[in-house]
Amino acid sequence: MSNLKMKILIVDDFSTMRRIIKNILKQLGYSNIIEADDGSSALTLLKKDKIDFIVSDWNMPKMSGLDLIKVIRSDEKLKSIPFLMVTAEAQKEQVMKALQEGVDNYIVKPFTAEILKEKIDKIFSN
Amino acid sequence: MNKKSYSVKKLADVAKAISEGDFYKEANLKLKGELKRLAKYIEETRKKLQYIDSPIKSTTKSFPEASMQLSDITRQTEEATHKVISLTEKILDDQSRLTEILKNLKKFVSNNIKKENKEIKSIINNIQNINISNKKDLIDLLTALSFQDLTGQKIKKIISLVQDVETKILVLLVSFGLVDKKKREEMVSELKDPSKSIDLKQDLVDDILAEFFE
Repeated sequence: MSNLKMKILIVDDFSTMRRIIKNILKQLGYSNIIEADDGSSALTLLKKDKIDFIVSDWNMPKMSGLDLIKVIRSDEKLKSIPFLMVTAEAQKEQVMKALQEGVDNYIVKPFTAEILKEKIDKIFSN
Repeated sequence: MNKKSYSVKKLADVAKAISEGDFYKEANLKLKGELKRLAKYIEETRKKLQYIDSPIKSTTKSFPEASMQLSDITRQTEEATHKVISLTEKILDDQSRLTEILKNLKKFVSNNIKKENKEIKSIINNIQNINISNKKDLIDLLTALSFQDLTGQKIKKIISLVQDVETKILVLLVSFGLVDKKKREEMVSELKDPSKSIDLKQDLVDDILAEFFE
């Protein structure tokens, strides 16, 4: 099971989406949440802070979610952080690509709070 | 007369005409005619290009406007979505406080009102159930607002497509219109440079328009 005190990093270029995910996570009981607006600013935070879980979008300027997971999985210090991709990309090939790069689970937008909870539970039960 | 002797006769006639100066006279006349036709063609093409200039000019000026209008849609829906999120957050906070109040009220009723507290408890339970149902609806409302992200991403793609078409038209205009090779190459390379900001490209667009239309 996931720890409600864990530090969660939300990465999305749309501020509305970050707020929506943050609110849902808060309603699920998580309160230690920080945000980044793209992959490269997420990396800066990851190198500075101890992050326990990442919820990231795919399409973002500067560094995409896919490039972010590639960097994370090749970094000794960061590679074990659970990574949930939340994206509008719903094609099978894209889901496969993300899974091959090492994402732990995948949510297609728009999604419900129940789906987010279910995916988080699944990631942390493994 | 056979074919061979006919050709020889023709050659002899041409040689005679050259020697007497008639050939140059004829050639000059032909050349003059060709040049006249060429000048007329250039004049007609120039006139036709004037007609083309106007749509290209207005189209090139319309592209940034279209991009701006699309960006405005994203900005306005983003602002409206933030407002709805703020209000929803406030109601969720109130709803959490209400949950706490109802819990305390239930405790108070159990401890202090010994008689006939069944009905009061049932009322509190009903309010609690409505509160739980409202919380679920509010979270559903929040997730429904993710439409702004989805439409925003689609509009972003359209903006990039519009900018791409604009760049391609400008590249064509510069490639076929500018005589100065160095200037032409500089402008095309600047137009194709993805690192250039939109504002910087707009300066370039204005330079091109000035070069061609003013």
